Amino acid sequence: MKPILDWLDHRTGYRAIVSESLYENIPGGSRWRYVWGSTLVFVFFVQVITGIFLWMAYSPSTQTAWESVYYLEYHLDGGWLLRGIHHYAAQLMMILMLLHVLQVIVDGAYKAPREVNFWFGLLLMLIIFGLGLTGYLLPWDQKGYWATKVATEIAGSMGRELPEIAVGGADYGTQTLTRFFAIHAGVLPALLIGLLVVHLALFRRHGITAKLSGRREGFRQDFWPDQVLKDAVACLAVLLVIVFLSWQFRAELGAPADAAENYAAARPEWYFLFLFQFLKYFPGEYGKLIGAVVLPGLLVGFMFLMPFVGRSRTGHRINIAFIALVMVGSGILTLLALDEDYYAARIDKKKIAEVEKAFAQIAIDLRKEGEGSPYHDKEQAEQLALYAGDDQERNDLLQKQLFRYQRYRTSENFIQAVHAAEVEAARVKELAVEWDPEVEAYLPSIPPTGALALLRADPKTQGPKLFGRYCASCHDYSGPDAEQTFSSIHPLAPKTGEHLPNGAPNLYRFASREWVGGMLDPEEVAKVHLDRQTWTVTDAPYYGNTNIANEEGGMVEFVQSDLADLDEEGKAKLQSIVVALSADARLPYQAQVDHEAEGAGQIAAGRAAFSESFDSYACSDCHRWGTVEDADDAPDLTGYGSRAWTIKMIADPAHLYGEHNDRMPAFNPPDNPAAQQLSGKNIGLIVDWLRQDWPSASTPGSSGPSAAPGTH
Amino acid sequence: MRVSTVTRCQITRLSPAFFAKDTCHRNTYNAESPPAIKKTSSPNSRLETSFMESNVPPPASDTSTCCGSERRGLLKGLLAGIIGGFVALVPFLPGLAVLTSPLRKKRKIGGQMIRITTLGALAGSNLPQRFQVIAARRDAWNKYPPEPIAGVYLTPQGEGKPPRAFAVTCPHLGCAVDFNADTGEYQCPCHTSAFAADGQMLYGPSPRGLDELAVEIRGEDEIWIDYKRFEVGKSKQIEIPS
Repeated sequence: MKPILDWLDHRTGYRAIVSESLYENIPGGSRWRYVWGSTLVFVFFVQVITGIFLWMAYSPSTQTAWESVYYLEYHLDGGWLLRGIHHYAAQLMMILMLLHVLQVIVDGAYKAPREVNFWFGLLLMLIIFGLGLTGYLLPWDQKGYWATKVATEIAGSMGRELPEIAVGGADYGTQTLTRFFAIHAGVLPALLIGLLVVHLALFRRHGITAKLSGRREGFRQDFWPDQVLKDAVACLAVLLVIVFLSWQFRAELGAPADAAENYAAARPEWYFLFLFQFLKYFPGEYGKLIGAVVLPGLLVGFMFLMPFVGRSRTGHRINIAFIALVMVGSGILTLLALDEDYYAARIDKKKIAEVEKAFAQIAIDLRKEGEGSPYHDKEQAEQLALYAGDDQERNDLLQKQLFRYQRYRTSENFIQAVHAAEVEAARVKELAVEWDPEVEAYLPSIPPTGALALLRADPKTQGPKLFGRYCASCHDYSGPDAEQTFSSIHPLAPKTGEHLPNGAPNLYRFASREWVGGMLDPEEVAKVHLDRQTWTVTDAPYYGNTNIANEEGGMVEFVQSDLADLDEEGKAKLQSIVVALSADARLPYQAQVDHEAEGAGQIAAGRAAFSESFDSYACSDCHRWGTVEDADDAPDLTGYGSRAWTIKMIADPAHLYGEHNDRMPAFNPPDNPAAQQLSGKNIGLIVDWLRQDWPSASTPGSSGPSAAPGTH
Repeated sequence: MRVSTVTRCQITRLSPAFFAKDTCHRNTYNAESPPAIKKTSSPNSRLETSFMESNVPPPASDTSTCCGSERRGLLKGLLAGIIGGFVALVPFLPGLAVLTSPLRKKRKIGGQMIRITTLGALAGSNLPQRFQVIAARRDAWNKYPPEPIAGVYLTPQGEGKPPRAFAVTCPHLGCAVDFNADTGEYQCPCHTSAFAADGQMLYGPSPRGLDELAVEIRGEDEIWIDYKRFEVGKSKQIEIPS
């Protein structure tokens, strides 16, 4: 063996290179405090390796970025671990960098002749910040998108050119991804390697900065094996932490980025939270510039001057104090940011009980008095002062609680937004797959337009949003099992407390048997509960809060007279009509019972009973239904509650209700396109949501969003 | 201050000049008492204070110590090597799992029934006609709406009999064959293989005849085929699982 090695050494000189690198002599011996630099190199190595494998799966465009990351995370073997390691290694790198900087400064390793090396180290630090910033955007999920947007907005405070170059235009889009990707995977790593080589060479030139005292005087060890062993153990510990974190907490993937959906939970990653918090103290146009560019710039600038400041003993102490202050300060700012965000979760609600009560009373007064209320058109603080009156003590308490209350509301918004984001993220992953019976597995089936299109076409996601925006000002939506509730507050008339009909029916499970049965119930049809304490209408499930309740000879009168005090036969007849009518809606969640009723002949019975009189009238005397022609001007019940019927109702209620329509606007009138408020597609989404007709991946045999309804 | 100078220049190594030059100049140390941080304020001592000790090489032959420390050194080295090797290897593992993931993908054997055309469309000629195979396609995370994915030749077999279907893929190396009406042969433009109207090998480098696909008539006159793909270059017909 030795002759071969000799031959090789004669030609390459490898032995000298190897002993040069391995047998660096360390005055004072190897020490654990020197491992941080090596762990940083190791973590960078991990990032490069995992990064290259990620590169083989990632596709940087607005329609494929999220999708490729999703595919890797959930459908490629080990993809979650690969991505998890890359994600948590990045986090750990920030911490290790902190430790390394701290050790270097405390040990005075920036002093002559190591100044230039120190500067190279600072440049490396800035590059690592850049890597953390650019990598975050690449999955193109809501969190990454909005967090990075904030960062480029900050850069924009120095002039529009800089962000436009980074972003590739005025708006975030595919060019942003390709540019950020090139920077993250190409430019910065190459720069980092270049600077790292110089950093290591300069380090080797001068050697370790050893603090020799006590037993370390005269003690020497070589880099190999002593320091290498310590470095390896430290790297192993770091690796174990990274793998543990990846195993326990998968790397997050939010819903696909949507520029149109304002994301209230937008936050930078934790290592930039201190900057995010810091910026809150600098509002205004120039605040952003000062808080995010000037001041951090000065801080980093001072670090470049540390080698000169630290020439004297006092100077060295100043440097240590400075870096300690910056680290402690950043830590405090980070904690403050987290505290503010999660304030609502940890606060004792008793601390804002008084002010909440006060606002409730103020709201009642506003409803009661209307514009005549002293609270009308005033700021919250003013309102409270007015409320407290002469009681100074009370006023002080309320003002103090007001501050907490505002914090509470902001935090509550944030927490809700985070939760909503999680729900959406889970939903889009549900929509992305289809059951393939041949392979007996869920296969990804995202359309070429991307996953966002799936979410935008999903009634379960979009229904509540559209309903909240366009319907909930009049209609309630609440029930025992409702995943979401909308309860409009309908005030009584100011001052007089008269009940002015000003609301619309509760649409939870509209057209279901329970709903129809309730509408034909004399107790329920015009029910309206007025609460004079809170000055509102609290319960009006059907026509109780509309003008239809007051119509002479109308539906309500019919129900309350003809359908009251029915005998057994009458009740059975009514029930069969309810069943038959509700079956017309073909509600997916009622498919089973409707089918059974059909088999049992109940539907046919109901259709027959439709034309049979109750006390004075039969339903068919006013309503058209299918082939039953004998009708007046009441709504046509053909296909009642079905998708088509309900869409037509929302688009143009007048065509069903005619003159009886209370106040419902026509959201998409066919004869007046200029008055359109909701497109046909959006009305369809609301209707599908009301009918609880949305794709469900949990049922085998379902086939995604384009499936016919009735997948339950 | 007595200074014992042991410099790197004395050790013959193929170091870059960069190192040699500097260490010749710098590497001096006091064997008795290492430079301590002095408290006086004279310029000299201030410089000494700020000048932290630089690298010092070991004496020329330092490693010839007693066996015990050599074995310890060997053990440490082994341990360092093992741990270091392990941590360097770990990042590759999930990466390789991802890389080789396609090899472990579940594949299904058996074809896909696809509607091609109607019997009516075939009537009018006894010659084979080319039709498109239109189907939905999956590619990684995407599912594409139905679009042309391949071609098929349908040969009428006479009244009342279902046509025969042949894949357009030449079993030699995968080029698309054309039917030449003049010669009544299927001809491959790549390496001039030729096949008879019933798919049999006539001449050329192809190892087998054209691949026939099963035909099913559904309804009154709908022609459906069992679309499959087969490996090229093999004398036996081997299905490629999708």
